[in-house]
Amino acid sequence: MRCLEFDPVGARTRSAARNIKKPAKCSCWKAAAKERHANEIKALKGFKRRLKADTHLLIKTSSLIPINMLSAVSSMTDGDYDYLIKLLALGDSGVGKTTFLYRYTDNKFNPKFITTVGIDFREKRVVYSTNSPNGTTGKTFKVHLQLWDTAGQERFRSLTTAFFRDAMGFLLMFDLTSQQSFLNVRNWMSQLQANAYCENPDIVLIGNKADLADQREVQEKQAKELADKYGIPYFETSAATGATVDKAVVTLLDLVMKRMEQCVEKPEKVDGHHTDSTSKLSAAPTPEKKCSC
Amino acid sequence: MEITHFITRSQMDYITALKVPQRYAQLYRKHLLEKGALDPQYCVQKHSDGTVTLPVFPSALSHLDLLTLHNSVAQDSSCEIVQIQLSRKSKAKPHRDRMIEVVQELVVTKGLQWSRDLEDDLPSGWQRHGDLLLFGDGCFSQAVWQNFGSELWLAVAQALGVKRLARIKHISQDGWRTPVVTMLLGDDSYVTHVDNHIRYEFDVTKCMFSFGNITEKLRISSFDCSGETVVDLYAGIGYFTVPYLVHAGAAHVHACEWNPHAVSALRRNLHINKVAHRCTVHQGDNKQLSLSDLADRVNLGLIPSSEEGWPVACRLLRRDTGGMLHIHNNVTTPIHKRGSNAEMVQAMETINMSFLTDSERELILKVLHRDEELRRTEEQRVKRLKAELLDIRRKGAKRSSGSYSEHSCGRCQEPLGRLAANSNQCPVCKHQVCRNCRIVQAKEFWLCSVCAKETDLKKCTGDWFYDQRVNRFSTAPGHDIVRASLRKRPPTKKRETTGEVLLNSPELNSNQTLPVPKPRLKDIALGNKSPTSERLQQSETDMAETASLSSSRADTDSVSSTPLAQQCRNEVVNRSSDSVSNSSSVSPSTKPHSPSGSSVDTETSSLVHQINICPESLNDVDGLFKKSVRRVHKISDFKPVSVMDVRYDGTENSTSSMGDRSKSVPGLNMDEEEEEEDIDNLVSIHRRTVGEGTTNLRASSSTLGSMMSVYSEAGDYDIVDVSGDIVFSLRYDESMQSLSVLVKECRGLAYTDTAKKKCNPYVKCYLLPDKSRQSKKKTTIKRNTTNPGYNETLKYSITRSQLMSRSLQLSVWHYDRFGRNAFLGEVEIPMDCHDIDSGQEECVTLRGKTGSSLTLSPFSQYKGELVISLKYVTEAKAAGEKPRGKKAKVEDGGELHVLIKEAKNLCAVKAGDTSDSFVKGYLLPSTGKSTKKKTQVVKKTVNPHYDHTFVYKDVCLEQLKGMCLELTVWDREAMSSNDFLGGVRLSSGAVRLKEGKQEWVADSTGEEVSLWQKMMQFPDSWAEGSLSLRSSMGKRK
Repeated sequence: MRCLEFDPVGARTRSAARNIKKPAKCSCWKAAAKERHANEIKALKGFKRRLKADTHLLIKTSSLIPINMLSAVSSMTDGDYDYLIKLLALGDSGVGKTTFLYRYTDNKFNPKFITTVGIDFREKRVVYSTNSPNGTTGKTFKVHLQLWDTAGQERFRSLTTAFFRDAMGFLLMFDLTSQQSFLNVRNWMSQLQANAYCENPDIVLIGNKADLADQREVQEKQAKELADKYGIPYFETSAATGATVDKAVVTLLDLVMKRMEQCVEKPEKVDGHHTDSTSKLSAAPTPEKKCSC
Repeated sequence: MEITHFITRSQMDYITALKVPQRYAQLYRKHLLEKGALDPQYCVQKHSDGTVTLPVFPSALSHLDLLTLHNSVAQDSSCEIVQIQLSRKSKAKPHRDRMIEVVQELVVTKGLQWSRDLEDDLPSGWQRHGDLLLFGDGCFSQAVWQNFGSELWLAVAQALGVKRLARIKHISQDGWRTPVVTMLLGDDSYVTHVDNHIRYEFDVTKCMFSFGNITEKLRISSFDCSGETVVDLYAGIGYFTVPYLVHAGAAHVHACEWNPHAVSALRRNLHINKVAHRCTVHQGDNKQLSLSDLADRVNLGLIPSSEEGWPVACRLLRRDTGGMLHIHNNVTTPIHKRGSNAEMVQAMETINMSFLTDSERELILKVLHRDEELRRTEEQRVKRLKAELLDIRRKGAKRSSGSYSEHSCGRCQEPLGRLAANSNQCPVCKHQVCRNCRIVQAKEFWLCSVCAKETDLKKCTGDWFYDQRVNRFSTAPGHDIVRASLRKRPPTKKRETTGEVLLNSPELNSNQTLPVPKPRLKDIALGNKSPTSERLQQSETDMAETASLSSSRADTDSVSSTPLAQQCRNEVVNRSSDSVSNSSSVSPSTKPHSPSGSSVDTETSSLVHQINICPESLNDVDGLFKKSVRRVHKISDFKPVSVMDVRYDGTENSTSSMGDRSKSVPGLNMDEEEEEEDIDNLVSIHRRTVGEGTTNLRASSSTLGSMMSVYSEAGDYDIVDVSGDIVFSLRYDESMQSLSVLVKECRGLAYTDTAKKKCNPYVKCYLLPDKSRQSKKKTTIKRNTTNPGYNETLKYSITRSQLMSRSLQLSVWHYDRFGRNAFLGEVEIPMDCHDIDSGQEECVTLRGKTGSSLTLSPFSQYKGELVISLKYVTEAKAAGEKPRGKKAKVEDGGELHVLIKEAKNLCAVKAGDTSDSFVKGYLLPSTGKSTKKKTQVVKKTVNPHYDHTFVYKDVCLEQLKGMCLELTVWDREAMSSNDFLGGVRLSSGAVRLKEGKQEWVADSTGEEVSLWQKMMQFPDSWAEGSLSLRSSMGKRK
């Protein structure tokens, strides 16, 4: 079912690509790279073992949350779904947005680094089930996810930020092995606040490349603190192993669906109050507005 | 390859430099400096072709990506890497080196030891004022220099190529900001400084010259203050006073200054800039100023703070209309922050695709096409869902308006039990509903089937999201505006996505056959205030992210700082200092004594700082923002949205929804007029409308001001007393680029016919100065009432920057089917100092026609100039030029040649502050095709060169005396009607012209008359002149 592919050669190419992208900031960079390379080989050895464990964990976690993911329901082109939910991944260049989404939609990992040109999107159909208050599973809906992938590169910035306004939820990603990408989260947040459909859109913070434990530059505590400051969930994922990828997306989807419920519920209550308290003049046309059937 | 070639050459006597347009030079310089690519060893050089070369390190070339550079600095500029020959001029800091040389020589000849200390004691920088150099403190401080006396100064001056030297010690804190300046060489301490075409002269030992305020001076120069009275409370030598007079065209400026030396310089500057007659100088403490209730603007250009002057400033503002305070403050602005912000603004307003390579474009296009596919599927689905809802509604549902039994189900019409009437009521639509028609939503919470379906639909269609997004930048209260705007808006618009916009943009889609005009989103550019910036004011100036970061999620809003486009544009010019003189303005509301309802002036672009005139006012403003933020959520969730959409869908079911896309392109014409309205129509409208204004000066016996209506098309109307109020609210929708005017009601209108007590009022609306059909909007007519309730929204598609120059006029009219329409009163609200974002309801007392300055003089608004040359070619010459065949005709007269050279400072109506203009000419009285001439369209400039000659044949001098040459400048608009930019009317004065049935008098004045006469006086020679453009071409009967 869940097919995790791994290609050690490819993995090395990915790391290599990642290294190239890192600007040579410190003088001891070369030495560091050497060390990193040694670590990498070490990491690769323990990789297969971890793979198994992760897969196991994944299945477990997804059964805990009230949403079950099914593989593509039917051909993606028909309109047989209940909700179209648009999510968008953003973050610095090279943090792994594309691979993350690829992992999520196709459950595959492409270790090559191919920079995204401007924008792209992937689709996936999932089944979302609400939990009724008494604990039993409520209704289930078919959700069509449109997952926008954006270029992290600066030169596409004007283009990518323009797409922020169309997304209902955001996967804000950084690279756990790059402190800089983590520092930039703050900038991405302000970009979001300025360009998204509302000032406090639903966001999940994602630290990617959790599999490269020995190259880690950002500590979980640090990231968690930042996420708490923003009041958003935080996940450490690995597109390479697939760890927590589903969970991150599903959490975001859940947030968006909850927001949707709030959006349609709130006015009813508010309106109810209004019509009771306002004068006759304004109360009179209210039913007309609501139900001119 | 090319670059490496350059490098080798640069080792010789060439240096590598970046060639950029002069106006972007500062931007580029800053950018290069940040990147560490600017080579300070050489001088920046200005060239005669309007470009500037910035020397760069050859080694930096490889990192320098021209495309990104150009995109991140200024997209509409061009830059290239060039090699410039190493001239003496481009050598670095030659002056200082020469000075060191000379001084060293002097020291040595005196038999003294030259030391490093001495060299360091020589100035490395200075201010230059003409032929005077002003050294800062901390140079020539060694005792050694005392030995040299004037010899040293002479040598230094010579080395630096000036005649006078002075040294500034420090600016004293005596409130006069007197610099302690001593002249080192020369006696005359008056210096001249020229910037922005203004000459400033001042005594360098007595007054300070501030270079830092150039940005603000430029900004002030861009104001249109025609007809306004301005008070400058801290005039100084006239830094701001003079630009207000020279460039902004203020009617009168009161300049207050207490430093007597500055006052004398101020007087001098007013005089040399030829504006002394429009300025009153008040010498002394501005707190003692006896003026009050007169100013449209008060300039408070004192840093670090002008707070002491605020009470005075408030007193000075006009009580009736209020005005603006321009308060200057120092703010700290981290440069890197600015950069990213500029990008943000840009991203929101325009998506520039020009930086993409072809293959990239191809890729993105593919993605967009895939997205379109998905969107199409989605639209089909939404349509289907809405049809389902319609179905449910039709099934035996009660109509809310009709009368029906209280005791039957509102949905299925089944009889209901008599008990528990209340518990049967649907909480949303209030219909009584039977059990079968309920849908339980949650525990003990149910909705009737229709309401439940509506809620459902809102979720399924994504409307919940789009509604939120629509309200992203709006702060308007009340559901009505939203509803009204939804009604008017094509349903697709709300759901429009970036992908869709992009896909339709010609930039990306070059091979598209149908020219779909790109939505003119770019136009917001100047003077734009986005709500984020409002919030920014809340958070004061501190951009310290740490503070905001530590706060809760809701508070993180304040991190987002979207500064204004202009801010970036203007202020990058002198970003060199961290602290930029910044100004913000507060305009007191129209209520006489409360400047506290103040709306933040939208015109001041560089506004980052919220100033509280009085503590309460700040609270008020704060409260307002908070309230509006809360409101946003309410409106956004506003229920009947989908109902509206459904209705739309019901009627438009047959049309493909994708086909509606063209509607989503915002245009000026809401009513979809003819494809391309002939400009001539517009001219005639201009004529008609304005013409009436001036003629119908029938003195009203009844009201003081109510003399005429300028804008009644019919021209016929009765005059009645003006009384009552009009209640309306304004809201500018950033995302739609539209102004919604919600006319709520009028109260206590006058009766047209006092005997019959008859009144059928309607409200008409114009965005002055545009009096054309596009600008005219009307409400419905309410019969037999003097308290009509309208609740109608009139909507204008207009960019914010354009709107700022407009003035909203609401006039109330009585409609009489058989008789004449009667004027019932009007209000005029200038948009530049009005809060158009809050959407607050306002109640304004109607006034009679006062004949505002806008309508009285066509020159009251500066619309730019037109440079033309006229020549009358006499018969003989003309005949000589022509073949004989047309002899008979030639006898009729000579030819009038009109050379349209250029226009200057035209109004910018298109994105990026430009216009695509052309000139049209008529030789009146004939308006036929024969006299209609046009120049070509000159694109993307407000200073177009046409160099086009109109030739009017077969006219004789005698005829010309009774003729009138009308030249009008238009902005070419591809898909809608052209915009009128101004015009001139040349004739020999008050000439009576007959145009068809209409007769009118040409009102040519001044230069227009003299040029025309010059042309007639000296045939066969060119008469050239630069004419001010009229803002309207109204004609007098």
